[in-house]
Amino acid sequence: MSKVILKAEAVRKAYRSGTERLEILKGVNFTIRSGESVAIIGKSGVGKSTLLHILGLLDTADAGRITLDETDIASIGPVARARLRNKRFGFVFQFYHLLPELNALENVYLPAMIASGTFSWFSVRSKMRNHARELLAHVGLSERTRHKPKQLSGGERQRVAIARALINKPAVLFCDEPTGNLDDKTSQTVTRLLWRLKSELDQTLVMVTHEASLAGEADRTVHMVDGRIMKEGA
Amino acid sequence: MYVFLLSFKYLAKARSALFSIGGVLLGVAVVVVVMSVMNGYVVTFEAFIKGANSDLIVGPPRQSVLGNHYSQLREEILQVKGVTACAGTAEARADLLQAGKEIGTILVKGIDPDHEGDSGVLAKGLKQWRTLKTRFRKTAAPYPVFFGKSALGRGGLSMGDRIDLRFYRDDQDRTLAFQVAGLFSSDIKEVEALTCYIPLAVLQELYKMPNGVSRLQIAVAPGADHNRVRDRIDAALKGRVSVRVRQDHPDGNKPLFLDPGANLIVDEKTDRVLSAYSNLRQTILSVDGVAACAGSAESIALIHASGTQAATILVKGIDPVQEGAVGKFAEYLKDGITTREVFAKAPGGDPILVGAKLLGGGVVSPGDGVDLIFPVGESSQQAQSYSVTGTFSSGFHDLDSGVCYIPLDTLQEILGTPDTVSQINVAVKPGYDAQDVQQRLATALWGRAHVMDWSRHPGYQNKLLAVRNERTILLIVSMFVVVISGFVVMARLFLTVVDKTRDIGILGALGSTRRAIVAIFLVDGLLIGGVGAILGIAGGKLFVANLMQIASFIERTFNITVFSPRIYKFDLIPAYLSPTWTVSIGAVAILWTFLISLIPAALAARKNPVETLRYE
Repeated sequence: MSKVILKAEAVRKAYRSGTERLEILKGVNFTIRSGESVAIIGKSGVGKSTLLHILGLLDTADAGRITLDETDIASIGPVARARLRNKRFGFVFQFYHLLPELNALENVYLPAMIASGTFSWFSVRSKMRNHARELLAHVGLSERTRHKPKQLSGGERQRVAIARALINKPAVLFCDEPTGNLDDKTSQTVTRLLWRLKSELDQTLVMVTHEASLAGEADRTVHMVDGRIMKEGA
Repeated sequence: MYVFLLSFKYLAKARSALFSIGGVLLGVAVVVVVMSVMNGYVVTFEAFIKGANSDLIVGPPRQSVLGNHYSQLREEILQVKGVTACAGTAEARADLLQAGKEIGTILVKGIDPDHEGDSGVLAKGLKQWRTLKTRFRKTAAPYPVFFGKSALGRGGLSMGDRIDLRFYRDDQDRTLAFQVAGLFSSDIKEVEALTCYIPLAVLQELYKMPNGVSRLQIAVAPGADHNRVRDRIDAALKGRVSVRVRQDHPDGNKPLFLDPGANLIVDEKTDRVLSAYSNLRQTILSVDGVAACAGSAESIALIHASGTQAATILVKGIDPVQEGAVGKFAEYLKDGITTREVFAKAPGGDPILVGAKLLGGGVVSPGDGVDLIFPVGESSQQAQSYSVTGTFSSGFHDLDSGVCYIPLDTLQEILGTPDTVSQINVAVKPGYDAQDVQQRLATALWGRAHVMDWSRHPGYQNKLLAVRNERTILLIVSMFVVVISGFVVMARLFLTVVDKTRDIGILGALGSTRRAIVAIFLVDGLLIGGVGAILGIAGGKLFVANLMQIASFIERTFNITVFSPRIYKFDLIPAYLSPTWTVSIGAVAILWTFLISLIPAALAARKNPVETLRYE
């Protein structure tokens, strides 16, 4: 059995909405192993995205324990968390979240720029630009490198976002409803791309979705109901 | 690196950045222009004082000598149309003694209680005037004296305190007893601390001139043209005294708070002289560190050239051989002619050197004849023909339009005062400390003359201080524009932060630290400040380079006077800004925009990435 990368134990999270306290996660236990793909499915508002954000170190849990490579992330400061997000994780969001001022190529190599310091960037710049071009070619956008996000279609934007998520060769790729904002045809294209990349790169993948077709290809499916994991299956 | 990339992208895309840069540009340009003009004024004014006066100046001893025909002058002046009141004052320097111990030197002003209040000279300045008017009639020791509240430090003197004043007259001193009869306050701290008032009669008796004053102050009827009234007084007094509108007076910046109503000043012109010039000169030259010295004398005269009206002019008698060695005078001469040459050749009469702007400029030129009418004694005059042998141009309006030079011995002969000068200019040898030489000279000339360095010339010291103060005040005021432009930058950055909330969340998700997000907006502010400051300095310098053209354009278009050489004493608006000042102004503007950018940058860093990423 492959090595455990991420582990969540009894994770709880609540938000305050006015005077009301909304408990989103009610003691979630969850494990991700190297190379596997996991689909988290469930109805809207059950805490799928919140779990993904906590696993991806974008948010913190109120209670419970998260370990990354057997290190408790509670002992890690904000700067180190930012560095882990940058180097170990890749994110693909429902709304693409590309920076509108940058073109497709710049958007893709932005995480590589963040990873390198101001001066060391000059030594890796050409290598990373080439890598970004290769990734864009991989997602079928080699002709669109100079285009700004607003000049691209929804599917193209999501493919740029996937290329961006892969630039730093992440240990885990988190996808939050990656096809949620696309039409059926484009959705199928992006789905095929994700599974192709997963198998080609042996990429660990955690995906939040409510689409059965997308979840169907995952190694493991996790059902969430009311802030808890109710069922796991292959 | 992405910090700079994003800062550039944000700056290049937003039009609001142009307004922010424009704001900083405007602020910096205003400071550059204001400080250039103020610095230019200070530097040029210092050069003027220095150029006209050499390193050290030897003048008459400390007290002013009083004229002795106050009542008569006053009556004549009151006859002139437009004059509403006239009051005489006398001045003397004295040592201030408390309980027999010397505690400082003070300027003593003798005021005339009968007429001072009429002219409005003291009425507004001294609130206890009515009481003092009565108390100042007392003419037996201890005499009444009126001190500033901050004399001897605040609370140093109180009503009823006894003090002594030691006056100098010729080579002797005389100490008189006084009692503090009142305390006054003034906005001008120098006046409050260093001036006191006593009854005029005390000074008149001390100097054995029962009818003497050193100055008359005249109130002009509301609405009357001051220059016309001055001309009428000039005509009535036939040039016996020098009448000036206050702003033209070399002491113009002396404390004026006491005399809001007194617009004209009458000076005795024949006081303040140094006799036995030859002996003094020998003494001065024997002092270690003295390179050269040259005496000069002055007199008011009426100048008359063919085809023009007579005008009052200050005639200076200078030593043609020595003058060049003590000041910058030789540099003002036109056509490469030397002082000695100018005064050597005079085919059509005694030689005279005139300013380029005499009688409005262009009226007299070398070879022309002019007549000078000197007042001699109380009612007689002496007319003299001169041949213009050269012109000079100093760039200082008063000098170029109101002064002419003749040989010293010629003027001494006319005035009937052989071997007498009004001041002696002294040049210090290179490498010597002027203050050391000043001390040695003061010791050598003790009792016979007073030695000061050029910046303490009584006519200019206060003015120089005032101009320097004005420069500081204007720097502070104009810096407010830069402060306001900083707020414009801050407002723009707040808008950018709100506009880029989603980007901030994305950057956080991609691994950007809070510090890097702060840096993006700080660099943005810094770029605005830097570009604005550089353009502001360039714009300000361009404005300053074309200052006269801009001033004349405004004058033509709006029919107003922007710059009057008569008031400001220079032909051109002086402007100078040292590289240090320029860089400092730019640096302060950049620093300020940087500091004020910290606030929106900190706001950006507080954004929660999860919140910002949840929605499109």
